[in-house]
This record gives sequence, C-alpha cells and structure tokens, in this order.
Amino acid sequence: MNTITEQSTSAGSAAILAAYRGKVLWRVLILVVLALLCCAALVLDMVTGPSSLTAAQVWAGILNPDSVSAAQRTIIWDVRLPYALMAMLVGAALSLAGAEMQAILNNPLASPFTLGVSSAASFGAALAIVLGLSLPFVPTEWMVSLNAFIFALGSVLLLQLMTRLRSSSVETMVLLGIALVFVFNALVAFVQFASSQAALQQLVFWSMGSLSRANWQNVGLLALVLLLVVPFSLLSATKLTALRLGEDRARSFGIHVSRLRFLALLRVSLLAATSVAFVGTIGFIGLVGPHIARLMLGEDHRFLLPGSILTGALIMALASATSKVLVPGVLLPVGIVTSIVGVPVFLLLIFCKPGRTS
Amino acid sequence: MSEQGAGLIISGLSTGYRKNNIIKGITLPALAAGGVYSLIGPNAAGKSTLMRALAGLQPAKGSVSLDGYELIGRSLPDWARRVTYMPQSLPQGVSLNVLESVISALRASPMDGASSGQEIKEYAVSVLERVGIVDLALRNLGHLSGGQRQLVSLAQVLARNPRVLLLDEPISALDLKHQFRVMRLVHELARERNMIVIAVLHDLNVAARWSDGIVMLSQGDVVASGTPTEAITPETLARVYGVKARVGQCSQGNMQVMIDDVLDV
Repeated sequence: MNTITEQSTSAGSAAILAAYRGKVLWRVLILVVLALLCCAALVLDMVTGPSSLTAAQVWAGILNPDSVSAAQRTIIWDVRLPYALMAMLVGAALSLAGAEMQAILNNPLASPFTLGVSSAASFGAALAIVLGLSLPFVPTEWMVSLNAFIFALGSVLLLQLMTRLRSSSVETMVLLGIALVFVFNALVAFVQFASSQAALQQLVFWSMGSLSRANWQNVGLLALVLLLVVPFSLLSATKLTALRLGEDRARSFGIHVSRLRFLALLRVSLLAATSVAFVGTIGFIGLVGPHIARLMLGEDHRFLLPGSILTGALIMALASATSKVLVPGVLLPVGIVTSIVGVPVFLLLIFCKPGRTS
Repeated sequence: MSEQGAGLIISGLSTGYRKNNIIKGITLPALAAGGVYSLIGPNAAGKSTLMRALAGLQPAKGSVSLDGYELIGRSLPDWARRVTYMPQSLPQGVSLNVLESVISALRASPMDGASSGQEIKEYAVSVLERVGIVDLALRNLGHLSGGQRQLVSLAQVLARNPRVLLLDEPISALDLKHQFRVMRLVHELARERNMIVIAVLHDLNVAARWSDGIVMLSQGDVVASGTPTEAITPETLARVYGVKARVGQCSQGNMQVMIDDVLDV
C-alpha cells in the first residue's frame, strides 16, 4: 500500500498505537473476568435450590457422583445441573441473537423477539398444546417444542420472503416484522379464547418462560445450536462493525449487506427459536445483555459478540439462582425474574458510565 | 479531458428508483486520473443518485468504464475494490472510537496492500495524521462535533485508497478553515495517488477553486460540463438555479460567483 504520508510515524502515533493495544488488552481482560463470573454464577445457581443440599455436597456430587446418596445424585445430575446449564445456554443464545439483531436492524431497541420470532413460537406451542398435535416418531413431550420451533423459523422465512418482494430496506423489514408480531399475538389470543381451562393454564405457564422442562437432551441440542452458530457469528464480526458506519458506506466497502442481514437473521432465528422452544419466552436478556456488553466493550463486534454471550449467560444464571430463593419454597418462572435481576445491573452501568455529551 | 480508454468514462448512464428514472442516459467527457471533478446542481437534481450509481450501490444501465474496465454488471466487491463512496452522513450514537472506525473500514473487505493487523493499524493512524485528526484517534464517534464527524468520515474512505473516490457533500459541516484544508488535501491526494475524485459540492466558489472539471446537473441531465469557466456562466446559472448571477475574477485571478437576484420562473 503506498504510504499516505511521507512523514515518518511520529512519537504521537506510536503512543496512539500503544493506547489502542492497551484498549484491546483491557477488553480481553473484561472478557476473561466475565467468563470467570459466569463460572461462579453457574456454581451459585447449582448450590441454590429448595432441597437442603450444601454447596460442598453439590460439589462432591459433581466431581464424584458415587460419594452422595442416590436421591442427592438425582437432584444434582437430573435437576440442578441441566437447569443451571440450560439457564446459561439460553442467556448466551438470546443475548448473542440480540446483539446481532441490533446490529443488522441498526436499532438499539431491537431484540431477538422484535420481528415476531417469539410470538410465532408461542402460537406454534399454543396449537400443539390445545390441539394435542402429534406426529409419528416424535415423542409427545417434544411436540410443543418442535411446533414452536417450526413456527418461529417459519415466521423468519416468511419475513425474508416478504422483504425480498419489496425493497430489502431495514424499515420495510421492521414494519413487516411488527405486523407479524400482531398477527401471531392475535392468533395466540384466539387459541386461548377457544381452549379449555387446563390447556389454558399449561399455555400461560409455557409462555412465562421456565427452566422446568430442561433435561440433558434439551441442553445438548441448544449447546449444539450454539456451537454451530457462534463460529459464523464471529466470522462476520468485522462486517457487522462496518455496517454500524452506515449501510451505503458498508456496501461501498464491498460488504454484501442484504446477504449479511439474511444470514444474521437466520442465526438469530435459530438461536431464538431453539431457546423459545425449550424454555418459553424470556424477554429482556436479548435486549439488555448486548447493552451491558456494549457499555463495557464498545461496538467492535469482535469483542461485543463474545461479550454479549457472556453477559447474557451471567444474567440468566443469576436470575435462575434468584428465582429459587425469591419466594421460599417456590420455584418462580425464570422469565419473571430476569428483569428483576437485570434492571439493577443495567441501571448501575448506565449511571456509573461517564456522561456522554449529546 | 484525457486520451482514449484511460480514466473514468461514463456514457449513456441511466439509473433511478423503481420505474422512476432519475438519471436519464447521461454521457460525460472522460474524467482523467489525478483530477478533481465537482458535481453541482440544485436540490433534487439527481446528484446523490448519480453518485450511488457510480459507486455500484444501485442498479444502472449504460456504461461506466474505468481505465477500459467496464464496471456495470460487476459484483459489489469488484466495484468496492476500485470505487469508494462517502455518504453525506455518519450514523449517530455508534460506540466506536475514531481509530477503530477507520480500521473497520480497512478490515471490511480485502484490499490491495496492508494485510497484517499491525500494518492495518499503523496505516490507519497515518491516514488520521494526513487528515489532521490524529488527536481524535481515541475519541468516541458519539462525542464528536458535526465537523469532526465529517473529517472522520473522510478518513474512513481515504483509508481504502480507491482509484475513484466519490464524496457526497464532503465539506457541508465544516468551518472555512477546514473546508479549505479538506479540499486542498483531496486535491493533493488526487495528484499523488493518480486518483479520480468526484465531489458533490454546493459552494460554487469552492467548486471552481479546486476542480479540474465541473459537471452541472439539473433534473437528471447534464446541462453543462467542462472547466469551471466553461461550465459556470451567468447563462447556465440562470437556467439551472434560476438566479441572476455574475461570474468574475477576484484580485488573485480566482473565479468568483456572485448572486444578485432570484429569477421568477
């Protein structure tokens, strides 16, 4: 590349490069600290719970399953561990989905559910619960999740199709997405109106967001989806950063913005649909996880995306632990608790951040 | 303005939104490498649309050929390697610092030259030095003034070192001193790198002072083109802008446009 300046790089520019390196190191440090906090929160989440297991017993039960009684082993391995892992995975998935959604829609208020993914999933679940749908070769307990997933993914593909038919601008996409939200919400309301008392109760519980359906199969599937999606997310990080400088500018940098948007939306829908299918609708994480990460790490997506994964996992783990102790003896649906835990953290960060001049 | 095949040759170029053709088959004299060209004209003349078409950002018919290489019909990355477009504005509320934003412009797609991370960073800093905003390097984009943002925006596109640089109102938010500095810098870089610069400008005196050629656009059509004195005349100003104007020379010999009245049309 021909040098743009003939002056030798001065001491000033060396200082700037050093400061920039320092900033990068600082961000890596933040990510490491977040990861450690996640581990701590996971342990905290596992040792809290209604049955009187001490932390030491849980720890012993994990390291050496034979050292505790069969009942304790069941609690630790079939309840505590899958619940705690599910909480973290769902937090990570929704927060990553939120970060990508906010980047591609150029809107800090976007979340994985902005374009109707969760509404569609709820409708799918409602249909499965109320109609008692079943498919050959699919166990009935999977039907609700499967149907929720199919509808969630279907809604995104429908959105893509409609956006392609008109211009593929962000505004069109958001408007169509909001239309989908209302359509599916109305359909859910209709199903609720027509359903029996028992089905209604199940439906309401489903839509609240609860970890109680977590088992090793679910956890494994969601982990697989994350493992599949995260590498592609990280590979498009530099493109997402450039997109933040404006759509025309990014395109003039040679970025295929509509393709970038489609692939990101596909990842978002996979993450959100899988999460919703297993735990119901858990709002707030997908909105606030990325925000917290952005406040700490800025918008270089090479740091923001992993940061969002970690903040989301952290908040969900803390919310899950809180949901077990907030009302003694009652396991609250975690979807209710996420805001209670997330909002103070969020406010703290906003008020501690040095003021931004408008 | 240059020999056959060299430079940027635009002929029969049409573009628009949907069925509404905004640019209607315009043909320009060849734009020579190393030259600065200004696109002037009243509001809604199609200046930005023409710029976006030249950047490959919207479908166009006709021919745009750069040093004999036809660009119409090429893929976006193919355009982007040769042509960079600077939009009018930089989005608000982005939590990136100035240096990061320039680095991300370089990392967005493969460019000739700098490849390693360290080279890209050093190069980005040298671009900021050249634009004269190295002191802003670590400031957040959201904390900058309008003028500073415009300088950063310029640094981002300059960093890509394109063959053709398209600037959409590059000095609209700048004070007099910075206007002068930016235009001088663009002029120097065009000569140095043998780059073709096309800028949309509203200030006719600035356009005349720094341009090798002027293209005057009205309602999607070229009304006048050529050297500043050829293109900017009382007649063309009356026809295109609807103003009564005098064109003279200042004591330094630079062209000066003075507007005396608005013509009732």
